Order: sequence, then structure tokens, then C-alpha cells
Amino acid sequence: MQLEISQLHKQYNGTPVLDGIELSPVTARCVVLVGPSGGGKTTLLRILAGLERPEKGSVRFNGELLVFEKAPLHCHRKRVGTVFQSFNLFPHLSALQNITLPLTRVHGVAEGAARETAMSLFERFQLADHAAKHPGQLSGGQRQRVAIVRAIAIKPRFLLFDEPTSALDPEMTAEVLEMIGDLREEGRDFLLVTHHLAFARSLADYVLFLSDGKILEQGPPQKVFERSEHPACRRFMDRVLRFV
Amino acid sequence: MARWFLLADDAEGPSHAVRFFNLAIACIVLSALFYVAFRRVAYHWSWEPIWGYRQKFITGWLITLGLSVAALAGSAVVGLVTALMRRSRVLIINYAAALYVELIRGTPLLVQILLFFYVIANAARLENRYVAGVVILSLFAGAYISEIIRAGIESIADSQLESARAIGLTPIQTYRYVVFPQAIRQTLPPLAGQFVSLIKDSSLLSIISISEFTLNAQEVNAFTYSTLESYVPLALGYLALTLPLSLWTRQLERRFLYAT
Repeated sequence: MQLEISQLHKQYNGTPVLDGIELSPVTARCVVLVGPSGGGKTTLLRILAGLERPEKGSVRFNGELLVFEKAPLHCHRKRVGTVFQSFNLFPHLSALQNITLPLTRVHGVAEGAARETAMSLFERFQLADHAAKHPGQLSGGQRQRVAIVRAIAIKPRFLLFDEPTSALDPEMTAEVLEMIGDLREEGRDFLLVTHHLAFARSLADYVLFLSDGKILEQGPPQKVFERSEHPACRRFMDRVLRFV
Repeated sequence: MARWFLLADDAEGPSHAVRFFNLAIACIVLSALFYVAFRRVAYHWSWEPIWGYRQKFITGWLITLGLSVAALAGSAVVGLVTALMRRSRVLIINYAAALYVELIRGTPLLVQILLFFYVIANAARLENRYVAGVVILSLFAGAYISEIIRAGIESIADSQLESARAIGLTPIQTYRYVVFPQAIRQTLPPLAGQFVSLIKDSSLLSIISISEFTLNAQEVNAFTYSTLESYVPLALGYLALTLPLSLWTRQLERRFLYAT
């Protein structure tokens, strides 16, 4: 995946959240966004997911300009798989139906084929026993893994993860991180916002450090995590990596 | 001993025998109360004249059943449309719906019936009073139902709408597959209550001489001077309509039960 961002600005009620994000074309399988809370990571990810429109600026995926208008954004959302912090599965549908709903209603897949796709993915990720359960009957880790299956079932161009483990206890976190690791092995493209820096370091091809709505540091993980020249980034890493 | 009378802590609930036993006792106590009250006022029942008019009760009841079924459907449609109008971003549509809801909820049904029948229906040359009655009841209950549906829709978390948007559902699909199936669970209990009220409110249509259940009972009373004998069957007749509705919606509620 190649990602290019120029002069991206976004405000909420007059407060700038993204303050001129600038990224010259970067080609990477796995881009990780790190940085302090409130630094703009989630907002940037939501713009990339087509869920939010910036006031100014442009984004290109593989050279293709993302047009921030209703119809093209809807099209864009259909082609990316977004995984939220709080799972956001539909509680009135079974795990299986949560996967087949977008396949049949958005992507025009026949019911039978959609079920097959879902079941083979469930088997691949040890979720087959839970297919008939509703989200309320699943553990947090299982819910998030179902949500990830929902995102990959549509064969997206790339995946976007917004702090996929921050609502989970350590054991469930491990279970979800392992699944994300597997997806990486499969060679899927994705962009991940996470607080798990050790995990980020092992996974990322390219890391962006966001703070105060700007990209303050970027590069391969070794550079950003260990040899950053930006004082804010160094301070952050020193503080956070001390306990890893 | 306790297991015959108390709700156990486990989730299973009482057995059929225990349920029946306790319900029977509750019925007996209530009946005894009425029995004693009637004994004290030494009321002399005379059912023979009433029996002669049984056909009037039956036709009246059937008319009320018909009116209620039609108004139930009508009010559901009116309620749904109004609830969606209330969520419209077009201000005129939004305000018009809000005004309608407030006007209906803030004025007596009696006045609405008279105003609609003698002015609006007349002006629109709507001569069939039964159709007019159904329209009035639908408009009346629709205002309440719209608020119930609106509350149901608004109870759906934003994260659900966001999730629907993220997977590429259109707004209509979002309502169809995400919002309504979840909202119905919140909506069913108050909706059932509203529908029960609607059935009883249909009795007010007697003032525009729609020959429904209540009007027939009133007439029988006027012919026979047996007031209670005319009105007790009326109460039982309404119960025969409202109880099944309550039981049915309770069953529906169970069907829509899922853990959140």
C-alpha cells in the first residue's frame, strides 16, 4: 500500500485536531500510528476510513485521490475494512450474520456463498464454534476477532485498526494481537493505531509518531522507537518503553 | 413451603403448577372482594332483559374489533412516518411533525373527534363515519406511537450507526437491518400499552354515533335500565380484545430478547 497525505487539517468545534498532516509517499505493508492520547491518531484513521471529512488537504492511496464527497466516500468505505476499539458488532445478529450482512447487502454476494466465506474464516481463526452466538454471548476477545473477520471477509484493499485491544484484558489482548500478527503474515496491508509499542515495533514496516495534530517523527520502527531525533518523540518513547 | 409462594433466585422461574396455584389464589381473593361488595349493597342482578339484546353486544364488539384492527395498522403507519419526519434535517418537515404531535397530545380526544368529523371530514366530503373514525383514531394514537418509535430509534448507540456506515450500508439499509430490529425491542412494551389504550379509546367514537361496542351497551342500558348488567359485559368484551394483545406482545418481546 502506498499512502500519501498533504496538508490535512481537521477541527472539532474550533479546536484543531489535525494541524497540517504531511506525508510524502510511503510504501509499506503495515503502517503503525503511535503517539500520546489526543494527538490526532484516531481522527486521522477515521479520515482514512472515509468516516470523517477534513476541512483541507488531500489523501492518496496507491496514487488514487480520495474524494471527500458523499458518493465516492461511500464507495471508499465499501473497499476498506475498519475495526473499532469497541468492536461495534450488531448485537441483534449472530456472529455469522454479522459477517454475512455486509457481504450480501453491500457486496451482492449470494447468501450461501456469504455463509461459506464466513465459516471458512471462522474456522481459520478458531471461531467456528461461536458462529451461532450473539455478540452478548462472546468474550471481548472473541467479539473483536469476529469484528476483524467482518473486516477481512469483504476482501478489502486494506485494513484499518483503531486501538483494537484497548478495551480488552491482557489475555484477550494477546489473542487479538496474535490474529493481527497472522494477518500480517498473510501479507495483508493495514494501518494500525495502537498503544502496544512492543507489538507495534515487531509488526510495523513504517511508523508515524503523531502529537498535537502533526506527524513529528516517521520512519522504520528502529528509527522512531530507538533513534528518534525529535525531542517530543524521544520523551514519549523513553517514558512508555521503560515499562515494556 | 416457600417454593410454592416465592420467586426462586435461580433464573428458571416458577413451574406451571406453582404459577397456576398462585394465579388461582389471586383470582379468588379478587372475586371475594367483589362478591362482598355486591352483597353489601344488595344488588339484584337481572340478566334476562340483557340476554334479549345479546345480538347488539356481538355486533358492537365486532365493529370495535374492526375499528381497532384498522386503527392499529393506521396508527403504526402514521407513527412511523411521523417519527422519521421528526428526524428529518429539513426543518419544515421536522417542525410540522413536532407541531402535530404536540397538538394531538395536548388536546382531548373528544374535541379532536368532534372537530375532525364535523369540520375536516365534512369539508373533505368524507361521509363514511366509520372511515372517519379510523382516521381520527389513527391520527390520535399515531402521535403517541411516533414518540415511542422515536425514542426507540434514538436509543440505538451512535457506534452502531458508525459501524453500519463503515461497512458501507446505505442510510435506508441501516434503518432496515440495524436500527429497526434493535429499536423494536425497546419499543414493544410501550407500544403494547399504547395499542391497548387505542382499543379502549375507540369507545369515544360513540359520540359521532358510530355503532361500536360502547354505544351498543349504552343503548341496551337505556332500553333495560339494567346499568351494571349492560356494562359488565362491556368490560369483559374489551378485556377479550386487550388481553390477547398484551400476551402476544409479551411473547414477541421474548422473541426479540438477546443479551447486549
